[in-house]
Amino acid sequence: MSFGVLRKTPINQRSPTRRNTELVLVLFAAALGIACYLVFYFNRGLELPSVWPVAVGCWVALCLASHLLVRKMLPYADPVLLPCVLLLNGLGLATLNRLNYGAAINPAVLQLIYTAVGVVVFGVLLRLLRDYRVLQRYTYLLFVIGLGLLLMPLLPVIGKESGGSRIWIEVFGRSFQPAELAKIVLTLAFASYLSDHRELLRSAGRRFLGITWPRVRDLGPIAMIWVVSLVVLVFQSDLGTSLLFFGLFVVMLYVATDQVAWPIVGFVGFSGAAFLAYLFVGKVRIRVESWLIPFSDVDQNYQVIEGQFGLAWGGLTGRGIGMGRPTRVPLVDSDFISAAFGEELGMVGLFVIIMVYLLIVMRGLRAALGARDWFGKLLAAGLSFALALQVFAIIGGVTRLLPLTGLTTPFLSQGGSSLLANWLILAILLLISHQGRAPIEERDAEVVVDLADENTVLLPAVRQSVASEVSDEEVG
Amino acid sequence: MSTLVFAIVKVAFLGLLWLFIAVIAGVIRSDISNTRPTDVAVQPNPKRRGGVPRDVGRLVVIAGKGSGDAVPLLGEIIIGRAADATLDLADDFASNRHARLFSDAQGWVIEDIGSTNGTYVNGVRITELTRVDSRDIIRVGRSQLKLEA
Repeated sequence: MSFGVLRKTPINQRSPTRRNTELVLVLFAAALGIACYLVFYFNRGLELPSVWPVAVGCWVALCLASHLLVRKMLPYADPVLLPCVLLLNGLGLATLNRLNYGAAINPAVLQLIYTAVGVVVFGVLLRLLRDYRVLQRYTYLLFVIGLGLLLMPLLPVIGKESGGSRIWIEVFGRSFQPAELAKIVLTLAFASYLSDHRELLRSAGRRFLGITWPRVRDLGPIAMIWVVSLVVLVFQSDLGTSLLFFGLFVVMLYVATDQVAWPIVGFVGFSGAAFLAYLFVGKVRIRVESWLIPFSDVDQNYQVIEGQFGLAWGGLTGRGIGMGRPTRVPLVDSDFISAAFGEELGMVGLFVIIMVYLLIVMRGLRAALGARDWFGKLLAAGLSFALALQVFAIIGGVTRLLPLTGLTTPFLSQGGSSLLANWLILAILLLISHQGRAPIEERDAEVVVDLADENTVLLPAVRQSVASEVSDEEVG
Repeated sequence: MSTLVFAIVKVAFLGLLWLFIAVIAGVIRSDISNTRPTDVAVQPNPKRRGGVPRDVGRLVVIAGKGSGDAVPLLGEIIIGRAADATLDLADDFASNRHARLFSDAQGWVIEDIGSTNGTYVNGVRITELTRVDSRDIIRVGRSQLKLEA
């Protein structure tokens, strides 16, 4: 195999699956994660822990398992997505291990277990959802499940408040953030609804201010669900996630209707809401202050300030793995993990991370372009955009480009719910890219559906003469 | 251990990270030049052969009233209830002129021509020209149609 060589394939030859290319990239990504893990001990002059071969073995096994799952079930899937995700996941594991060095129970172990769970869930989803289009039928069920997940943290017994936000549930001593899963379920629901009502939303309605405003009965159901989910999130004071949902919805509406006015309306609406939030919500005011004038109140903005010092200390090429002091930053394991990367790998290293996210988003949008059905297009575009917005918001927040919003850094941050949800997103993107790239004869054909309950209208026959002839014959 | 060794390790690791990006970029590049449009249908195009084509496919009704009816895949096919439709469906849920099936250089394309109940390909209502082949199931009213090689 050679990279970058244009292969002249005769027209009747099978399309390349690119699975061997993927395997090479997966091994490369796995090796980089292992290197990051081991260089820490080398740089610090520490003895390697006795379990290191076990940790490395588990990691390589997980990488190979995820590759084999794709090879077996989605032979034509995009070859770049999985290696990119594994690179991020591996660097995340190594960095968590490094940040918690000396802790009695290292959260990196737990994160490795969550990665394993993520790979298992990934495989199960690929197995169950050979044809993702079946989900399109359950628009309202998906809406109900999504809203149910969002409301779970408000339930009395299992709901749990932490750090001022009520966004966790606790079951059997394990906490989980259902909003991560709700994000995926609601994206599915939006994609399903919009792909059905695309044409109506685009054309039926009156023009005003350069936009064809859809009729209430077309936009109403989805707008209602969306407003309810935003209200729930604001009520739980989960501002990052509400920003994410807002952007996701606006972009999916834009993709579905092809009207540039929607992002403009969305941006204006968001600016207005953000300004009101700044005036009336204390938490938002603090976030804006720590963004614009962090040094005015060192105690209040300690986290942001320490993150800034870390990035500055890292400079262009970083201190070297294990040579910085990223643990000075509060919550460096989750919200501020990109500050740890900036400090130890420098700007050059942090840009690799951002580039990898960019590649994932780019290939996700490529899958959207390649999809033959609107449900797949909207789904891939929505999920890719949500990932892009999330990375932009959190890394922008850490680097003080934007006010800080408490979002996880996908695949890097400590946290099982986020990791699991992101592996599910990867599975869906791979499914869509497989359906788009596979040659026609290997695509899954839709099963013949039962037509009895289809929503159809009986048409009066125009051929009256023919009809009367038939009835005459029957009478005769 | 001298500072030089640490510096080399640091630069080497960053270099490898960027090499990963470069390799990915290479794969994407070759992916673009390797990917043939996958939407090309496998059906031979009867128009291009000249004269009577050797192996013309058929458009077959596989479910609904008149199941088993078929028309040869030649030229433009109008599907509907009208007497002059190429495929004359006995389906109360189909419009008189429901959908149009025609071929271009790459294969067969179906278009809904203003039907009341819509034309579905693999369960998805089509709103624009849609490429179909023998793997797709077309639904018109309560009839299901299929291209056969």
